[in-house]
Amino acid sequence: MNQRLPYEEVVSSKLQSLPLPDLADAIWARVERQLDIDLPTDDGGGNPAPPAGPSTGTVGWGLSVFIVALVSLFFLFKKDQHRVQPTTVINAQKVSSPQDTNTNRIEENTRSTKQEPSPLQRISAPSTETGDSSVNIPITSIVPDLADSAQTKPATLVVAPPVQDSGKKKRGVSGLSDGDYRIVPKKDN
Amino acid sequence: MVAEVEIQELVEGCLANSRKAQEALYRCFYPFAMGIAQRYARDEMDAADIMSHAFVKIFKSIHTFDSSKGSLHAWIKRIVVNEGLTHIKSRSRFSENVELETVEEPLIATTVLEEMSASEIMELVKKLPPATHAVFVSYAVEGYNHREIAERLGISEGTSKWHLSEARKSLQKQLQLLYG
Repeated sequence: MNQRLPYEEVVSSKLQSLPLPDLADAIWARVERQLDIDLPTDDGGGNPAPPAGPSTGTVGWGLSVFIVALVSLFFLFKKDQHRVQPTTVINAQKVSSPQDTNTNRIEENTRSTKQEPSPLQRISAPSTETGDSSVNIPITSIVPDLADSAQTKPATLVVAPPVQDSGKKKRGVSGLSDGDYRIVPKKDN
Repeated sequence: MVAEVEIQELVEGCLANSRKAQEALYRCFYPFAMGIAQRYARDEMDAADIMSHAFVKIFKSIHTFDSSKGSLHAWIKRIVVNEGLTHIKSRSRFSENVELETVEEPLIATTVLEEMSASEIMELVKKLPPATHAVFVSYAVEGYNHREIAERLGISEGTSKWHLSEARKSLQKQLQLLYG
């Protein structure tokens, strides 16, 4: 049995009317934060979506890097194409039998570097749309003696007509046909 | 004052985990709950801690509220008082070394208290040691008996009576110092 003294009755009534601090908003913010963790809701009524966590930021970063890489590859390919396209005549310096192990190579008039990767590789690199890593550009006018890969330096062979892809911009010099691309071997006397 | 029907609708919204309903119920009971929390708190930060913990608990356990067993006010009061006591317990050790069978009843002039403001009286209560403060407020202000207080604080009834006795003696001394 709770028997309060008279003065405690006075204390009780006085303390019932303590002035209240203006903390309603601040306290609700704390409560809401905790409820979002303990009792997440799908309430669309004014309940803002939780802030993007580290996972969405990482995905966004990855996507940006991927897009930048694609654009860089595209421009790189375009640059290479500009280098390749002026080659309409390829002069073969020496053509010999497959047994010649030394200098059976064909030089081109362009400024292609000797350390360049295979034109097949270069040309096929941007072909990501089809998902097919194989070359989709027909290569013509290959010197038969170059069939032996051990004898040749594939980096010097560049024969590439413009790519006519449905979704891509037309490349190459207009007015040129397949026959314009030919190799004219030089004969040593 | 919010009508009972509206409170019932808010409760149903809280059961559906509607944030709007929860906020509305919180703001409706803020004055009532804050009044309780202040009495157990040392300062506003303490009161805010008690309030935030209490309301999170209220919304997480609102499905256990049974209107046939009591009013929502009484249910919320119990939760806020428990949070207040938990808060005090977390800050201090409740000594079990002392027991008392009969609580002392020192003479304290009510007229003096009646001339004091609520804030001034609260300041006197805050000067009590934490355990004594908790017992005094629970007994003298919230109206709990020693058995209920002992259960909530995890102490014996004798210890609760001792704390109440100490609170009364301390308040008497403080009032005598202030008003002679």
